[in-house]
Amino acid sequence: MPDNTVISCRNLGKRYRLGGYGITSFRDELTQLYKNIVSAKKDSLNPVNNFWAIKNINFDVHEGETVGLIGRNGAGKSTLLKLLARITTPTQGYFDIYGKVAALLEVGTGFHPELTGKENIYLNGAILGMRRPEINRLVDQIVEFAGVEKFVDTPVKRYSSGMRVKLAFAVAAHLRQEIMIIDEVLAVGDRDFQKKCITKMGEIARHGRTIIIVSHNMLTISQLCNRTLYLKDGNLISDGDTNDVINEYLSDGMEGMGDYSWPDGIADPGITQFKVHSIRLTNDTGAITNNFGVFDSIIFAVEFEVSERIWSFALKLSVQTLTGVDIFTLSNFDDPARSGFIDPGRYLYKFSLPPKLINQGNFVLSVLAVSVNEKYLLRLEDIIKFDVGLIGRDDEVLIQSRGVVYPNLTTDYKKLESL
Amino acid sequence: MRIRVNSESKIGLPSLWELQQYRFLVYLFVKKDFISKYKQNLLGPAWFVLQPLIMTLVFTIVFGGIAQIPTSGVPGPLFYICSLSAWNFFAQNFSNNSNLFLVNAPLYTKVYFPRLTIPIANSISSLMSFLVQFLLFWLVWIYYKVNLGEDLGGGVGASIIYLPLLLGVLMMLSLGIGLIFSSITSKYRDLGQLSAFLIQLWMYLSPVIYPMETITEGYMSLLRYNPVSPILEGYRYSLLGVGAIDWVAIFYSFLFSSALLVIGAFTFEKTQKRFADSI
Repeated sequence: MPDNTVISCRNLGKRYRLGGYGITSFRDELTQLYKNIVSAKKDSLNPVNNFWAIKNINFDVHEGETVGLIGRNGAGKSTLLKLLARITTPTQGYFDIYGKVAALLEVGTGFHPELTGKENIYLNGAILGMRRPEINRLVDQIVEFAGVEKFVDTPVKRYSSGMRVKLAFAVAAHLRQEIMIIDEVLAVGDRDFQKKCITKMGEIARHGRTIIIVSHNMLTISQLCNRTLYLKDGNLISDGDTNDVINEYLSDGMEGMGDYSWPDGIADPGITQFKVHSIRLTNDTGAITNNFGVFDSIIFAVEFEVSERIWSFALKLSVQTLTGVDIFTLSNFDDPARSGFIDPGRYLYKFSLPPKLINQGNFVLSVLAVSVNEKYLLRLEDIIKFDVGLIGRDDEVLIQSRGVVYPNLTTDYKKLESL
Repeated sequence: MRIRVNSESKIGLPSLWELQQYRFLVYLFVKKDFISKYKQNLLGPAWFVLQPLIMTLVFTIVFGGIAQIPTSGVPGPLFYICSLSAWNFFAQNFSNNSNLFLVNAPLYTKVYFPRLTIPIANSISSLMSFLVQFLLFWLVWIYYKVNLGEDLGGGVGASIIYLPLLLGVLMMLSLGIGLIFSSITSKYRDLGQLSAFLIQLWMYLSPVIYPMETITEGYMSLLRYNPVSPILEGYRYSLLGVGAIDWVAIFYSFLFSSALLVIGAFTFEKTQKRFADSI
């Protein structure tokens, strides 16, 4: 083994049991036990209830590398991260870690509302593995980074949510463990603060720390990582140069030409009452396509099935550029038809985007369904790629501009006077 | 240093070397516990003193006044506050640990740190509030000593050196059962209700408000198997000089507590490995 290997995974696998596992009541358990005895077979042996979140994962990470981890929802990214963070243990295989690890699966873990800002810095820092002298040395820097100098001795419960997040991130940003494992925590705070954080991450990376980052944002990944792992359905299918892997990821499974359908429906693991049958992109004429012109309307149609009466949920469509810049996230949240129960049946939801809105470019669509209590019913990330081109029409004038917005401007040009 | 993370079926011993590196975290957990307990209250830290005082008052009225249960010739309030300081330590340590997985789920499912730091911090917290109540006991003792002089009876003697041993057994027992319960409540939330009921029942079946000598033959055998009984008796013997210290019974408590602590530590270790997957 080379001396500079800091993480090595061998044949790593994690199996989860679906349903029947987790916090239940004792009564349910007795009922289950009775059922098992009556039907004379053990539930856990039923292969339908077992599911491998990741399987046969092998890779090595060397000192100083910044490795990105990408994949669609359900591909096993979080599971792999949780294993490496030692929050959960593998079912199969093993991994070795050489050095001190800090894992950030969320920021502000262990923050207590009654404690002051300073006390929380100490607590959070210590939970994340910082030593007392280390925190003593960094506490002023952390306070300054978060911009909460005036409130260090105020209980965190009086902080605004923004301040709390900044303080939490400031602690995280000052961790100096040899190996850092980071989930999408970058997606917090306002834009300026995000930028500050990304700069800080880059700084850490340049100082020889080893970093593993999971993100859906290809922009973040391509800015920070030189190597990227692509997980698909629990398997590590690609490991290499970031740009190559991102390209592979984005073009994988998106040849659907604007039509993505699942004959039996697709659902998140563990979700039984909701599934999606198809996602289609159509233009004004109703033709299915993934090529649009700037003068076309883009209609997103999602067909889903509800198999039991559920409280309505938010359907979200999110469009990003191929480099990960957010264009917009649409939601039917404000739709008056949305409040109330949804009866079993098949439904079609359409979002129509007016023409002259998005500029030319390549985009990716993600579809998410979120229940009222913020639980994901379905996450289909980066599911359809579509292009918008500067395609003219007879009566319209094409305007060439840069950026993601198509300038629907009117120009007026006239001579005021002759000299 | 290499850390190898193996499959979940293998149960290893917790690394003590790693645990001692997290001493500062344990200190911070204890501090958090203390601050969060008094900051949410109107009377603040006064509760640490008020709670046993009120209980002593209630016991004095109900069991001393109305029911007239004898207290070995020691003034009722002194007897109760003495017993309560030990019992509350036991009960608090048990209940603090009995639901630790549920209370600390946000931590356990988001970040790795040696899982044992939490029960250790809980036990230290219980010990701290014990010290407050212990001090309170001494204040009450001094009050009676000044007022009654020699009539206080018994008295503190050399047997006070047994205290650390007795408290040690109480600590092992409460932590052991607490850990076993924590594993159970991590899976079955509804059994959390049971622990509050159990501790209440247990108090009445322990010589807290009455000395062992007042018990009739029938109940005696029941109380004798209660591992807390000889400890409480011995505790009062050490501090008040009343009752008797039964070394055979204490040795039984010690064995019982050690066994429960080992079982508790084992179930805890097993539960913490799977906890993040089950929630």
